[in-house]
Amino acid sequence: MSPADVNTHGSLAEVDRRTSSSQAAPGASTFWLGEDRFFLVLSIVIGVLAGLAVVCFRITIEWTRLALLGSALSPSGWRTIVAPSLAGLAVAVLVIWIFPAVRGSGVNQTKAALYIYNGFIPLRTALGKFITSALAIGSGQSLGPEDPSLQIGASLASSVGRALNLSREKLRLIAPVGAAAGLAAAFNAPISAVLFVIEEVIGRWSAAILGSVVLSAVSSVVVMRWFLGAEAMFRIPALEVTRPSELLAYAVLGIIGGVASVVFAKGIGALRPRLRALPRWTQYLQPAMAGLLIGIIGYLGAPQVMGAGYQFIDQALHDQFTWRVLGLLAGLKILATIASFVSGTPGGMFAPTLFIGAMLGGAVGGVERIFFPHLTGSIGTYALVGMGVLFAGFLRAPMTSVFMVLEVSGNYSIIVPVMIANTFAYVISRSLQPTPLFDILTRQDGLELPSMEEQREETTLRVEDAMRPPRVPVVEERDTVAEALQKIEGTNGDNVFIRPRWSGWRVTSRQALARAAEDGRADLALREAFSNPIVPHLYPDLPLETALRHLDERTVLPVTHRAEPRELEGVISLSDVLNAYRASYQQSLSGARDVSSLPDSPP
Amino acid sequence: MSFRRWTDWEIWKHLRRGELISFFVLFVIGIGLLLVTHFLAANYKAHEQVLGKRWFARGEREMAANRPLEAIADFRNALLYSRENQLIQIRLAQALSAANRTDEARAYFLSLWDQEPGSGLINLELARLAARKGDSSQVLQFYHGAIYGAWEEDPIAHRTAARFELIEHLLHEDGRAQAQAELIVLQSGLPVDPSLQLRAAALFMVVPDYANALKLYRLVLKEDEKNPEALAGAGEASFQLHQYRTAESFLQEAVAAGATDPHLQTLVDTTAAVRQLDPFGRGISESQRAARVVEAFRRAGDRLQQCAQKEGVDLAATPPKNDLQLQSAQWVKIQSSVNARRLRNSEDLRNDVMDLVFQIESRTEACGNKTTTDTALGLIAKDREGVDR
Repeated sequence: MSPADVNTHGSLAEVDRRTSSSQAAPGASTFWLGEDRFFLVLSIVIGVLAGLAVVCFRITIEWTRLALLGSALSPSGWRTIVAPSLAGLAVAVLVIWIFPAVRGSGVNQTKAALYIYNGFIPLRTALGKFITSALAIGSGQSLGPEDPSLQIGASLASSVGRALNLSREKLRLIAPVGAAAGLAAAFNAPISAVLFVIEEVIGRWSAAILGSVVLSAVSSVVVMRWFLGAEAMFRIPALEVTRPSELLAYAVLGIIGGVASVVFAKGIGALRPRLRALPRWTQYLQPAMAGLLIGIIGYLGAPQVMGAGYQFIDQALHDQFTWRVLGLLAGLKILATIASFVSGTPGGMFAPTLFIGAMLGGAVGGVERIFFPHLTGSIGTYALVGMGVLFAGFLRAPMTSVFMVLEVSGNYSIIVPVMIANTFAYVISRSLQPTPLFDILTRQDGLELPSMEEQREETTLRVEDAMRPPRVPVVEERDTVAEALQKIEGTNGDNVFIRPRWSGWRVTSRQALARAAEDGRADLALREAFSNPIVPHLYPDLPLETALRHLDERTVLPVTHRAEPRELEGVISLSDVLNAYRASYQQSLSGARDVSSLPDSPP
Repeated sequence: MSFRRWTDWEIWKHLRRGELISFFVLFVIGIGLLLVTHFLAANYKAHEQVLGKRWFARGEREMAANRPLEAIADFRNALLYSRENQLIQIRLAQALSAANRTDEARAYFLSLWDQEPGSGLINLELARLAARKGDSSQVLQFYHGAIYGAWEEDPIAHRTAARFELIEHLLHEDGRAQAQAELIVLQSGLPVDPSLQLRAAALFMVVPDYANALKLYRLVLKEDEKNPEALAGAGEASFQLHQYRTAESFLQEAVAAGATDPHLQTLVDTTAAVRQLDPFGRGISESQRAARVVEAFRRAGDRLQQCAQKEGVDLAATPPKNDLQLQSAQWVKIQSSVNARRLRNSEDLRNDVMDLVFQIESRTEACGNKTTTDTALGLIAKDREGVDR
């Protein structure tokens, strides 16, 4: 366990102690409602609590901004430089001395809670994240409130789960439920939040967790809208894609966005470990220096890069900047966000990613319209697609990226350009940087969490990958024992497969048939002579682990056709399954050797 | 365990003491957080409103002082605290437009239009921006959107003003037929307001549609018979309609009422000249007709001389080669027969003489130095052409 892990979650002993009451009987219910149902109800409560916390968090950010930068949209004067620098210093002190677990965005910490710490995230983390992120974002650091909200929600959920003595299984799941609630409230987009948590935190679709995640996300959004209003995050202009040929323009945006994502991710991946390796005293200055850099950028005429920058995304969507300004803002925001994030300042990457995407999209759209004036898409359309592009390329959440744009825009005509551009960005980003940013950060922290991207792309072995051709003796259920013995004469294999008249294969042995004949049952039909149980149905497309549940060292099972159950497609034994797994493992080893030569992988 | 009513006290016995405490604590924390959030949110919203109003008022002041760039920043700041406020959005877009940031203003108005396509104000602003960009199809679309759109206050006045703007734009772009059509629609629903009627009549004069212009001027005069602008307009419209008697009356009244347009006196003189020279006018005796033909013939002869002198043409050359010489030869040929007595008795002769006069006036128009008499003869000729047709 690395020092970072200790900082993040306390010692493993502490984690064990704090979760010990739930470990005795996983899944055992101590609740009158039944733990599963209780968990669903609890998800709503968690959603409400997370929603309230996020509302407070957002208001605190705004108050901080008003106090430090003034009420103007674009801060000006000396405070542009002084506020983020001094606030950076204060944040550094808070992070180093009081809240060491709150560095970074919070997504990985939530994943770590799920996979390593049995869902344990101390309440102190939520408090620390709240204070430090509000101070950082409110003072103009180039970070957003979404990822911190996600972690605040997860931390609250974890605390509630521990207080209610949930079982270990539920305690593990409760952090993502809180994370979805926090993200949904921060983003005012429940579908995207649910998808992101499933895509990036949990990594699998499971009916058990999906209901809870959805309930918590929806309830937190309801709370957030109750207090802050139902206004969408961005006012989306009229969007229309009239000509199919224009999709090429969006493909170009996808390519450029993919490259920009790689630049952004590589910048963070390369600078973060270097800054963390510097002497400890420099850790106090790093957020202040990042603040100073951002303040200077703001002072010199680009205050748009300060803070989360939603209002400027809104302006980009409404064609309020020239393409030169948009391009400049995209570049400066990448620089500012890298500086803020690698300095260890707590804050999220969602808002900067959307900002960069919107600006880049608008800039690319502007340039394309110079060369191809017939393009009908507005700058706002390109900016909106650009947001999805960076989301797909940088955060590597392709499905969330598409739904996020749909949810934010409420316009389904944008789906084709978004899908095309996002696909290009995702593929290019993957080609130029095989390891996603979250995995890089995890490995830099010395943790080994499952990579959601790898999980998504993992090949599932199926029965058809392991089964052998059906070169085995097969007899009919209506055959007599004598006829069966006659039929199998000259064939190989000990197992004899009894084909059913309608359905339900049975398996017997050559010796059993011979014994039956000797016992005077030679004239009996097989269904009368044998009472062997029907063997489980296996089909070629079933996952291999399904077969594994039914096999022991001696069993051989038939694999049948789904449409014609009397048709034998193949047979499978335990050794076949193990051989298939070995072959797959060998393949993955050769793949891993290729990847390990890349610089992002841990030493 | 099956569902049971939560009011059933038995079920609570299944809960451990610790769990009960946890639930209670959770409930208390939830209520506490709710109260804190409510307090924070209410406080912040109130502050937001104050800030929004303050920035908006500042923006309005900047706009009033014709400083649109400063107003843009102020309205943007106001929008930060009052995002859905449409008035601020419209003001911001107007400030962008005033700062000549047409594309930005247009994008802004378009997004507003998307939210409220029936808004008269937004359509009007978009129409103005389209006019500035020269996008004629959008100009019509948005002006019509403004004319038929919804206005919060005084919709009739706004719609009328929007149609006036459209007509003026069309006339500026030389779309006279379309402007005339819009004017006719406007005229039918025009409020009884002399200033609007005069404005519409003036536009009818530009189209030109003198009959409708005269109709409107008469409407104004019905309410205010001494309105000098209406009198002058009616006079000019009548003049253009060749109703010289009416024109003379209106024009003289206009001068008497204090109309100061210098063009007016020329019109008065020309009208008087037409009325005095026209040999085809009704209500005059044959002797007067003959005298007017003689006068016109004499003036045509003088005009020929002046023009020949200016162009250096010898009118006495034989045989005549150019049109001036030909017309001079004709003039000389019939000179002996042009006398009051013969003209009084022969309408054909009067017509022949006047045809020659009109030809000479037409030919010599290019020589310049036209007198009121020449202009009057030209107008009489045109009038005559109309009668012949």
